[in-house]
Amino acid sequence: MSKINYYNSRLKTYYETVKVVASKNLKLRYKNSMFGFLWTLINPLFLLLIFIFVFGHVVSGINNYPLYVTSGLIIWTFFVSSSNQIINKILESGSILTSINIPAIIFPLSALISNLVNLLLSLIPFIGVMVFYGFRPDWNTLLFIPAIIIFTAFTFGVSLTLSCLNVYFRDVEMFWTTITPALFYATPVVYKVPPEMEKVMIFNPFAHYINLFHTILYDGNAPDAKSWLICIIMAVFVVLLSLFVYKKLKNGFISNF
Amino acid sequence: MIKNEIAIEATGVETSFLIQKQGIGSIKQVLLSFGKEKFFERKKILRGIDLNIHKGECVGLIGGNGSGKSTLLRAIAGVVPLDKGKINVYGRIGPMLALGAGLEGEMSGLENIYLCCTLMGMTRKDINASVQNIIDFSELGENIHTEVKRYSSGMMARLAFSIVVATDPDILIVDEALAVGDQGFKDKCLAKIDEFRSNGTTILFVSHDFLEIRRICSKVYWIKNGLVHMSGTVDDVGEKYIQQFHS
Repeated sequence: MSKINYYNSRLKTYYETVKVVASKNLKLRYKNSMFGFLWTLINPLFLLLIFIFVFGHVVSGINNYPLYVTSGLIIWTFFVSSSNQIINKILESGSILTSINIPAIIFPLSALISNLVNLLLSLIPFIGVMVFYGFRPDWNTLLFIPAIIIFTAFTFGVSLTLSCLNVYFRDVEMFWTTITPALFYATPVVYKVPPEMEKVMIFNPFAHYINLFHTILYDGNAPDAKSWLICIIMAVFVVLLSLFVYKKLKNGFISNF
Repeated sequence: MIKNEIAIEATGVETSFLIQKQGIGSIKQVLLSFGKEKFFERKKILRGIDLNIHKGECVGLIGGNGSGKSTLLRAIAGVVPLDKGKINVYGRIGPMLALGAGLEGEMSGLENIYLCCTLMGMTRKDINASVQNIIDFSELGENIHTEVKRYSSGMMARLAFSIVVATDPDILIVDEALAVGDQGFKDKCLAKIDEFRSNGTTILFVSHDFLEIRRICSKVYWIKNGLVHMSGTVDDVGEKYIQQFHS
């Protein structure tokens, strides 16, 4: 194949490109909108309020329900908004990819990074809400960092796979927007798993991650080794799967743009 | 300048596109055909192209619509994967393959300069150094701060060409993208291409305007049905090419 020399070494070019495209994503998201960046916060906060005040009456048996909901919703919102953004990224970047020789994976990657930035910024008001409801950070809270890294990898794996498939079959995006609300209710984000459902819940990968975060942020405990292990293995598997899918499908991308 | 050095070398290049079969005849069809191949057909575009372009040469590609010229350029640019064969490219390519490719409509011309130059591999420092030159060459003036979605196609062509030129490519590939500029811009581009030529940049040029080809190129490949139908000097090939329309 072509041997092309860049000013920067290949790797540095990719790094710079990811930075530039990620900041483009961030700029564009908030352009032309009045509230701009505030929407990243308003959206989940709004959802939060509904759950706290409406579901708070429906769901029983959870101490400090608002804190439980908040700690779950931050993560879930991150997952859904990342995957929704990424799923269309490769297709969207079709015009660039048919002219300039850069790997398609740069676009999902940039979208992930801009979403991460969003997440970090949205943590500020979220932590505010959590503190209001009695959250006090301690040493265990630091575990949030490795947890979010693992979860981000998982999110990327899922999203990249979907993004590649979406280039061939446009339904994938529709399938995803249909299935995510169902996934939300099938995952104990805003409720606790009733004992009779525990056996089944093991098969929901998201449940493991949500539990991880609930343990750290709501219980204020360190999750046990088994939980960590399951989360790490799932993330590794999904990332490897996504890279495999990417490798197999990328040659056909251009036919489908 | 070593005349004999190869810039682009293609051997036995074959490419194809996957065409999704439109519409499903019946549920039975869907259920019976579950492999990827059944959903897609392969449409062959390039059927075995051999090409040799030396450093500093100005080569034109001509051929009817659908002959595979653009696909060949894209294969050389590394954007279309090969089914068979090999392409060796020695040097950095500056591609002008599609009008406005890489340009983000919602951002200003200036922001797009940074975006596109980075996509093509320039360092931040180099971009800063070249920005004014790009703006000057494009002659867009104050419009550089307007969003690209407001640009006319001519303005986009100006911006795109100015950016590609600034990346100082070893190999310039132009695919009919100059057709939209006004006469002033066309002249400017052709003049710039002349300048590149005298600096030893390799140029690969696709155009339907044979006069343009004649002016810029020394050698021509005539692509027909995904194969090299004929290659040679502009005069030799040109004669035969024009003939086919008059016979």
